[in-house]
Amino acid sequence: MAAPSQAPNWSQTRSFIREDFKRLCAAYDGGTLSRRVYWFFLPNFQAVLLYRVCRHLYLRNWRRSARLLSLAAQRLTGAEISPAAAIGPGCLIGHAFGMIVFGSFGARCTFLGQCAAMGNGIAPGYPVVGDDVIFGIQAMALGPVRIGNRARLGPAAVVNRDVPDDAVVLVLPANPIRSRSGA
Amino acid sequence: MSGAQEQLSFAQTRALMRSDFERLVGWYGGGSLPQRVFWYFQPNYQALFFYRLYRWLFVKGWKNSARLLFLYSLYATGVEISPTTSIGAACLLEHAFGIILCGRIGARCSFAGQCGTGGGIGEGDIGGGPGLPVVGDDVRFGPKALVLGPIRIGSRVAIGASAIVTVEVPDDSEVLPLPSKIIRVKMGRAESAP
Repeated sequence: MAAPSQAPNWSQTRSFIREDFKRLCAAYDGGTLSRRVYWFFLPNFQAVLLYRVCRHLYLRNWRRSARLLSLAAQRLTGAEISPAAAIGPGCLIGHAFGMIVFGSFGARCTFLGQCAAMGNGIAPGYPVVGDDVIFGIQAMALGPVRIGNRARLGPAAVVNRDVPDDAVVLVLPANPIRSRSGA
Repeated sequence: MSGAQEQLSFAQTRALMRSDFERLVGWYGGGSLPQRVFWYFQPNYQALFFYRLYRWLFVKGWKNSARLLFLYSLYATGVEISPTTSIGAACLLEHAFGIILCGRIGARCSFAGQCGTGGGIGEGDIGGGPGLPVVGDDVRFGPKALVLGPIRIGSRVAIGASAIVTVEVPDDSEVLPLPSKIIRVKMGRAESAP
């Protein structure tokens, strides 16, 4: 896991931001400068950028500023990424609105949209997630669970147990489809 | 009736906006003028208002203006309807939270909050865009319903709450939600039933 918890210097935070932006541009297939400027202002990148700044402030013990900025970020982009969360470089968020992120994450994690990594209200603690993990849309990791490297959570998967490396977590059975009479 | 054709005139766009608003007012049970003004400015209608505008711009070829307006609408309402999506007349967003729409959607569909139609599963284009679904008319999406991949949803379908639809759904059917398990509660502690 590559997420640091000691005070970073600004160049380290900037390199993380650069990794995040490179991953975003790669996911959107490269692009001209004007497209990249547009992607820079998308709320999914702004959420990660503001998180990086908040995290930097938080680790330097400017906690009140960090909390104020993360509150503004949440209102602006709709993503609640706590500055207490440790996220490795190259984080990619598909759709920012409705994200709730607490816990510790490795490098190159992907959140497709409306994901939650948060507490479960029963036991204290937050998820610890490895590298290269993909959270599908509306996927949730709740409570003190450990998710291994390269795991993939399908849409709306709820994780409340440890997930090993290279695992795929799906919601099964599939919803039954039945014909109905009349509109 | 499918969504926008190759040409979309401004008169058509205004008619679509009007149909969306009339549907919303009908869903709220009709109202006086101050009530209608209030509903006009709610995010569930504003999201569709902006969508109709930037979709018109996008189809006209003014793609960058469309994207800028889309970006503004994304921040203002929190609803993400891609400019490449085409939606038929009289769409209803019951709650504007967490809605992500990509693909092609028919007329008179309604979305209870936190729904999504989109891709990320499978390739192929069946008319809604690469890897995106095609949804028929009169479809109701329950809360947190997801329709993913290049699949076709028929008309007059009811998609249950939290349903994840990744296969074709024929006309006049329903996608049932998965049942929840009731667990025993003992002295304030919850024990899960096996």
